[in-house]
Amino acid sequence: MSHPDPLLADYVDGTLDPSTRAEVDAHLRTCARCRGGVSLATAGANAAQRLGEPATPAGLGGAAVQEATRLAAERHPEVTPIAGRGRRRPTTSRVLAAAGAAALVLLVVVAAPKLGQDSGGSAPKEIAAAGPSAPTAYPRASAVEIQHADYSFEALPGVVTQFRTALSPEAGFEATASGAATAADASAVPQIPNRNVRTDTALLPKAIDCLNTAFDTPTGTLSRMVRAEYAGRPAYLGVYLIGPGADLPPTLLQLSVASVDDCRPLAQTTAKL
Amino acid sequence: MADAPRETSDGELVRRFLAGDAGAATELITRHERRVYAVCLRVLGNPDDAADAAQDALLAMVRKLDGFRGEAAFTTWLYRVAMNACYDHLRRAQRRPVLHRADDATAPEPALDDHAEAVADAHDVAAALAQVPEDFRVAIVLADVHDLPYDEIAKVLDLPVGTVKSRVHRGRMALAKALGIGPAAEPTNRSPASKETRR
Repeated sequence: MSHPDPLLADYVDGTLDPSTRAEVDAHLRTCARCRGGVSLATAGANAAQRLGEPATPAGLGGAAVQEATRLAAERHPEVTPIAGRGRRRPTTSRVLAAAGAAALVLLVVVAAPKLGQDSGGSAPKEIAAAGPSAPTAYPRASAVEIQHADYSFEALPGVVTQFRTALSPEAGFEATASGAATAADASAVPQIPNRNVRTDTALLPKAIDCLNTAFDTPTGTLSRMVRAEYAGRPAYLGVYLIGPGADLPPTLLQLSVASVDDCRPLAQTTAKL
Repeated sequence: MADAPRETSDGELVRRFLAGDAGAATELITRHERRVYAVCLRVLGNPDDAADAAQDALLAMVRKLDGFRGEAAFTTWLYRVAMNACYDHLRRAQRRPVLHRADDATAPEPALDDHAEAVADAHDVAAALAQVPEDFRVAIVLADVHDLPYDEIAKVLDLPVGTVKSRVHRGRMALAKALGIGPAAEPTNRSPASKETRR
């Protein structure tokens, strides 16, 4: 038998069939070169297997997540990228802004699966905030909502769809707004009061930092911040409204999810408004 | 999430992303970023380069998802994307990987025949791995660190299986030499788990 170099990796692995292995063994008994090579390769393989899995840097996938969001919106400009709903009327946001004297209202529906379970009911809850007519004054989160809910990847499209639907006239926000936004203060930045769940104002900066770490500082205005669980892990869920700038109303709603423990990105998804 | 009972398959996530669901790509990124970073770290040899290459690889993954036909396993395809990012990085850097350890240059050579004491810690192995020629290093990283079968490595690297096996064998020898190990080990000390993945 000539030097069986092509077989030696399998030999070291112990995966040769018995007859072939016997042939290699016979060769090794008479060939110091191959015997030494097998000895070294065995030691090398064992050493390589001692390498453990390294810790992954936080935020590693943030740029890729943002690119995925951009590509999804670019490739499907006429189609809602999340839940397969029909094309939205382009005037939806403008209607909100053009309300002018009326408030910019965000209706937050918390009827998504597992969402808002501690709010005492399964029916959609509305949270309305009113603000000045300036279209740049998007609703802003003022505190972290503490929810005892476990979100899942499968549920996210539905969650986002409900957020998005809540911003549309056909969702009936006008009727809700008339009753709920009576205390509008034209000078105040619109905020989302959180009536149905416990809130933590002091936690908000930390939660924002965490999402900034996970997603390399998401763009847009943070309109809602939730601390709940995602796939069984403590997570921050930030809802961002993204607009083209220049005093134009938001055109995208983005939901970003990061782990509380290490601020890694867990999920991000976007819907057109 | 990897342990979720009804985890959505990679292929299904690709399909969803191509249908417009950006969240599906996010799930793919979350699911595989550790794997991508780990292979980049072992091939490139230092955390900063590995993070750069892994970010490039994840971006490339997202941009090339419409080219994933499902003919290969997603992980095989992703390893290929990651290796391309590593090779690009190596070409740009025009240098061999360097591990940041102050005593690298002055560390005494281990005794050659002291195989029984060759239980080098992971850092020593990582430093030695960086001294293995690039082609051999890539082969043993995929075979012995990430436990890929040889036929899958052949697809990742677009090489004949025989060439892969040859590189793995020579890479293993080079790694042992870089660790100062002499030719005294007995073969077939591999773990049963890795044996099962071979062939």
